[in-house]
Amino acid sequence: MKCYSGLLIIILSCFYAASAFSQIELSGKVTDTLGKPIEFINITVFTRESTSPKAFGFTDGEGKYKILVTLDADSLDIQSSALNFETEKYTIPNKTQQVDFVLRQDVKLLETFTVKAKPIELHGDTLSYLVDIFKGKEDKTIADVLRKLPGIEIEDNGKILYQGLPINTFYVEGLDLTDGRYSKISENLPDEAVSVVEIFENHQPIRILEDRVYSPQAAINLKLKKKAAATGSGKVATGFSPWLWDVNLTPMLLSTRFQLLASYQTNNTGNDVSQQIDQLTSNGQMQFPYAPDEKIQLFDVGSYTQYGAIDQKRYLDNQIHLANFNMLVPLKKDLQLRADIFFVDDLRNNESEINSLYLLPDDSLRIIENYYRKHSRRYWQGTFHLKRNTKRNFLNNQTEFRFNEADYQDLIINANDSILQHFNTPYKELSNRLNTILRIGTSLIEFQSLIKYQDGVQKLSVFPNQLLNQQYSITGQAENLQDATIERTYLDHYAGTNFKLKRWVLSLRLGFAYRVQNLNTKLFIEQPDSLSDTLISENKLKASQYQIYLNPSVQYQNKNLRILLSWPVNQQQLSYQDNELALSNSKIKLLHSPVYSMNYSFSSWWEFHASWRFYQRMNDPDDFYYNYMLKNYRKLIKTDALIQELNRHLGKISISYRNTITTFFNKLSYLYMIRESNLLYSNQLQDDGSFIVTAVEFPNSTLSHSIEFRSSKYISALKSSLSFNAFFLNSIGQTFVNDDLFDTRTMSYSLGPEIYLNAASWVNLSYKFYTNVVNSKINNELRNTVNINKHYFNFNAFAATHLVNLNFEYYAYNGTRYNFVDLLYRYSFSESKIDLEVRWNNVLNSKTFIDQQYSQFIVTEYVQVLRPSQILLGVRFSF
Amino acid sequence: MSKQKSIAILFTIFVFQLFPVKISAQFFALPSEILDTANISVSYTITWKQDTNHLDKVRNEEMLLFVGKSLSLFMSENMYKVLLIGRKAESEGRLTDLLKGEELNNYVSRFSYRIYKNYPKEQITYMEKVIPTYFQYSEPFGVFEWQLTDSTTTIGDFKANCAFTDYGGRRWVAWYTTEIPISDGPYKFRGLPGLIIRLYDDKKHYVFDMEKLERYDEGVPIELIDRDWVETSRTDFLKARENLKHDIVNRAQEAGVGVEGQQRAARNASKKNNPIEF
Repeated sequence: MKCYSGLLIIILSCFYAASAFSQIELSGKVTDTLGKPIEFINITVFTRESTSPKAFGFTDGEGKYKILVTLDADSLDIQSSALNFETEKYTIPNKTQQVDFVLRQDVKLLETFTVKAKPIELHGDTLSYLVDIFKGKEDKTIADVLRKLPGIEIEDNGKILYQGLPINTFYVEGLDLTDGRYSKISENLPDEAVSVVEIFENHQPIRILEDRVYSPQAAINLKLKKKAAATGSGKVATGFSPWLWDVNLTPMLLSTRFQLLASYQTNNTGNDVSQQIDQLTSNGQMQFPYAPDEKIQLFDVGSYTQYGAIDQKRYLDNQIHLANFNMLVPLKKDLQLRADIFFVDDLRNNESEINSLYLLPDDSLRIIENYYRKHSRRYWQGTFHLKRNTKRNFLNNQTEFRFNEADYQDLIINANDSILQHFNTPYKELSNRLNTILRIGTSLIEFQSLIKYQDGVQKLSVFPNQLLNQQYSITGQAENLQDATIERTYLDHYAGTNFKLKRWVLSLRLGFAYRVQNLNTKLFIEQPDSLSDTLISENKLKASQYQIYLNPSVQYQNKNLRILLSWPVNQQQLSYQDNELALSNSKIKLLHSPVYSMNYSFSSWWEFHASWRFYQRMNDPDDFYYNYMLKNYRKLIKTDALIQELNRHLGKISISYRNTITTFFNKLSYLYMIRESNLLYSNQLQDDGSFIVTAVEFPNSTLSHSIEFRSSKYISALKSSLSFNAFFLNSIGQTFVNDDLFDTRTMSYSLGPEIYLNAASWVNLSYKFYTNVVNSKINNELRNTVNINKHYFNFNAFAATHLVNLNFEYYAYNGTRYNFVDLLYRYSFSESKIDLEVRWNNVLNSKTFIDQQYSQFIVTEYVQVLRPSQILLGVRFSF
Repeated sequence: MSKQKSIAILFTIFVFQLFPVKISAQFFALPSEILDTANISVSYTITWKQDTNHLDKVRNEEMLLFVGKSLSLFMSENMYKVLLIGRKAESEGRLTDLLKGEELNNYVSRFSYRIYKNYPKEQITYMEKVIPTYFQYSEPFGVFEWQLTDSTTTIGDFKANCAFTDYGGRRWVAWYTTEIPISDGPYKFRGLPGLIIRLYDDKKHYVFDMEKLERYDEGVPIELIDRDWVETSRTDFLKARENLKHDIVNRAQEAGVGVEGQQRAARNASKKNNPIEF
C-alpha cells in the first residue's frame, strides 16, 4: 500500500507536472461572416486569474493562427482583437485544440482621444503664467524663467520649444518685432520687466490661413510690467597693438505702441560688419534678373586684393561704426509698419605693392607701383515693410532708400612719378517692391512689382596724368578731372504662376521692364599755368531699354531622373541718343536664354549630370559711351562702335561615384565656356602701363575648358579622411593691343591632397597641401610661369567649456616664403552665459602676403601689407 | 538665391541627422506613390538623451504613427508638417519665399527616418538619408521576440501590460494596452496584442510616450517618396551612419561649408554619441 500510494503520488505528481508545464497548441482559422479568411487578427490567450495576456499570435494570409501555450490552468480565455472587427472571446479547456473565429465587422470607430490630461486648465487656447511665481534669484533674463515653465524647453541656439514643438511666433505685447530672430529679445530681456507669459496654443500667425490651416504650434506673448522696457546685451573685446577694440551693443525698447531694437557695432580689428547688410538685402536679384546693379559704379575704383585669396581680417585696416535700428509700429489692427535702418561709417587704409606684367607678342612691360589708399564711406539704408495680414488678403510692400557716400584717396608711386587719384562716388537710391498673391479660379497668381530710381553725381581727379597729354598735345603736368552724373529709372512688373501635373511642374512668368537713364560726363584738363579748365570730352547720353519677357520652364522628375528645361525669351529694344553729338543708335532684338539640365542616378552610387546654357544679351547701358571717359588713372575708354551683342555658351558634364557605406566619394567634371562678341576692345598701352580703350567691330570669341577631379575616402582604422583634388584650366582668347591682334592662352594646373584626422571625439586636425602652376602663352609661346605652394595645418579641440583652435599656413610663391599662425581660445561659463575669448592673430608677425591674378595678357602680383601680430581679449555679456 | 546659399541649403539637408535644419525644395517636388490610407494616427513624444557625456540634457520631439489598412508609417511630425507646408507653398508659387523665410525654422526635426511596417509584407522597412545617399533596409517581423509579463499599470485611462524584448543593443520595455486593438507602436516596434503606449530602453535613454490617437474620417495618404533608394542591410546602414560622424568635416567641406561651419558640424556630431540602436 505504501508502495502503491507512493507510486500513486509519483504518478499523480507526474500528472500534475505534466498538466502544469505541458505545452499545448491552439490553432484555428479566422474568417469574416462571409467566410473569407482575415489576416493580421490578433489572438490572445488569458488565464481566468489575470488580465495580462499570457500568449498571443496573429493570423496569416489564410486566416490561420497557431499559438503555443504553456500555462498552469484548467481553462483558458482566448480572444480575437483587431481594428474594424468585433472582439470574440471563448473560454476553453487547457488542451491542444482548434478554435475558429467568425468575426463581424465593427461599425464603431476609434475616436480621437488624448492619453495625458493637461496638468493646467486651459482657458480657450491661452495659458497664462505669472512670472513672479516662477522667477528665481539666479534668473537674469526672461529665457531663464521660460525654461522653468511646464512644457517649455530652450535649446542651445535660443530656440524655444513648447510641448516639444518650436514656437512659431514670439510676441511682445502682441507685436512681432524680430520676425523669428527672437533670441535677441528672449536672451536679453531681464525677467523683472515681464509680468505675464502667455502661451497661445495652436496659433496660426497668418490670418488668411486661420480656420483653414491647423497649426500644432504655439506662440509666446510677453506682457510687460510697465508700459515700456529698456534693456540690452553686448560683447566687448580689446587688444593691442596699436589699441584695438571690437564692441557690439544691443539695446532695446519694448512697449505696447512702439518697439525698437538697436544694435551698435564698432571695431578696428578688420571685421567688416557691414557685410551683414549685404546679406539681408541681396535677395532681390533673383526675383528681378533684368534689374540694373544695386550699386552705381561709374568709375573703376579697383580692388587690390583678390577676394577669397586671404582672409580679409588679416589685412583690413579699418575703423567701422555700424548702427542698426529695427522698429515696429502697429498702424491699424491688421496693418503693421516695420522699419530696418542701417547706418555705416567706415574708414579703411590699405597699402600694397602691385607688380604688373604686360605680355605682348614681341615685348613685355613690367610696372611696379606702390599703392596707398584711404577709403572712407558713409552709408544710410532704410527698409520699410508695410504688411497687411488679414483674413481676406496678404500684401507686403517694401520701400527702401539708400544714401551712399564713398571717397577714395590714392597715392600711387611708380618709377617715374607719384600720382594722386581721388574718387568721390556718392549715389542715392529709392525703390519700392510690392508682392501680392491673388486667387484666380483654382490657381494662385503672384504679382511682383519693382520701381527704382537712382542717381549719382560722381567725380574723379588724377594729378598728374600723362594719359591724355599725347592725345590732346598737352605738355607739362596736368590734372585730369572727370565728372559723371547719372540718373536712372527702372520699372519691372510681372505675374507668375505654377502648374503641377504628376511628375511635371510647369511654371510661367510674364513681365515687362523699362529702363531709362541719362548719363552726362565731362572730362577736363587743368594745367597749372592756365586759369581755366579745358573741356576735352563730353557725353550727354540718354539710354532707354524696353523689355517684354516670357519665362516658361518645365521640370520633370522621377526617382532616377531629373530634367529641367527653361527657355526665357526677351524682346528688347535698346536705344542710345546723344543730343550734343547728334548721334544715335538703336536695336531691337529677341533674345533667347535657354537652359537645359539633367541628372540621372544609377546603380545606387552613380550619378550623371549634364547641363547646357546659352545666354544672349546686349550690353549694359552703363558701358556705352560715344566719347571718352576716364575710368581711373590708367584707363580711358570709348565704346561707341556698335551696340554690343554677347552670346555665352556654358556646358557642363560630371559623373560621380559616392558610396556611403565604404565612404568612398569621387567626382569628375568637365566644363566649357564660349563667349562670343561682335565687338573687340582695342587697348592702346602706354609706357606707364595705362590704357586707352576703344571698341572696334570685330567678331571674336574666347574659349575655356576646365576639368576637375575630387576623391575622398574615410579610413576607419586610421580615423582619417583622405582626399585629393585636381584641377586643370585652359583658356584661349584673342587680344588687341597697340594695333596688334594676337592669341592668348592661360593654363593653370593645381593639385591638393588633404588629410583630416578625427583623433578623438573632442579633437581633430587637418593638413592640406595645395600646389598651383600657371603658364601664360602669347601666340603659342610660353612667356610667364607662376608657381605657388601652400600648406595648411589646422588643429581643433573642444571640451564642454573650452575651445582651442590653432591655424598654421605656409606659402611659397615663386620661391618666396610666408608663414601665418593664428590662435583662438574660448572659455564658456555654462551657468552665467558669459563667454571669454582670446584671439592671437598673426602670431609670427608676418608683414606681407603675396597673391597673383592673371587675365588674358596681364599677370598681376599683389603684395598686400598685413595687420601686425595682435592679441584680442573679449567677453560677451548682457545688461 | 545665391549659389552659396543654395549650396548651404543643400548641405543642411544632407546633415540633418547631425544638427537641426530646414528642409528644402527637393523634398516637396518629388512625386510619390500612395501605398495605403490611414484613418488613424497615433502621436508619441520621444524623449531622449543624445549625448552620454551630458545625460542631464534631455530632448524631446513629436513623432507620428499613421495606421493604414494594411501597413503603417512612423515618422517625425515636423518632417511631415514641412512636407505639407512645402507642397502647399510650391503649388501657390511661394517656394522661394518659404525657403528664404523663417517659417521652416519652426519645423526642425532630428529624425529624418521613415519606418514602414508590413511593407513589403511582414517586413519592417527603414528609410533614411546618410549624406549623400538615400538608404533603405528591411527586417522581418520576427526581429522582435516579445516576453510577456504579468506586470500591469494604468496609463491615462488605459490598463497597460508589460512586455520585454532585446533589439539593437538595448533591452526594451513596452507597455501596451489590449484595449486598443492595434498591434503597432513607436519606431520599429510592433507585434504585441495591443497598441504600445509607452516604450523605453532599460537605461531610459529613449522614451516614447503616447500622447493621443486621432481619427481622420477622410483619411491621410501613406506615401512612399519616389526616390532612388539604395537597398542595403541594417549593418551596412549603421556603418555608413557611423562613418558620416567621423567624416563630417570632409563632407561639409565638399558641400562648400566654411571652416567654422565644418567645426560646428564636428562638434555637433561628437555630441551625438548615443544612437537608438547600434
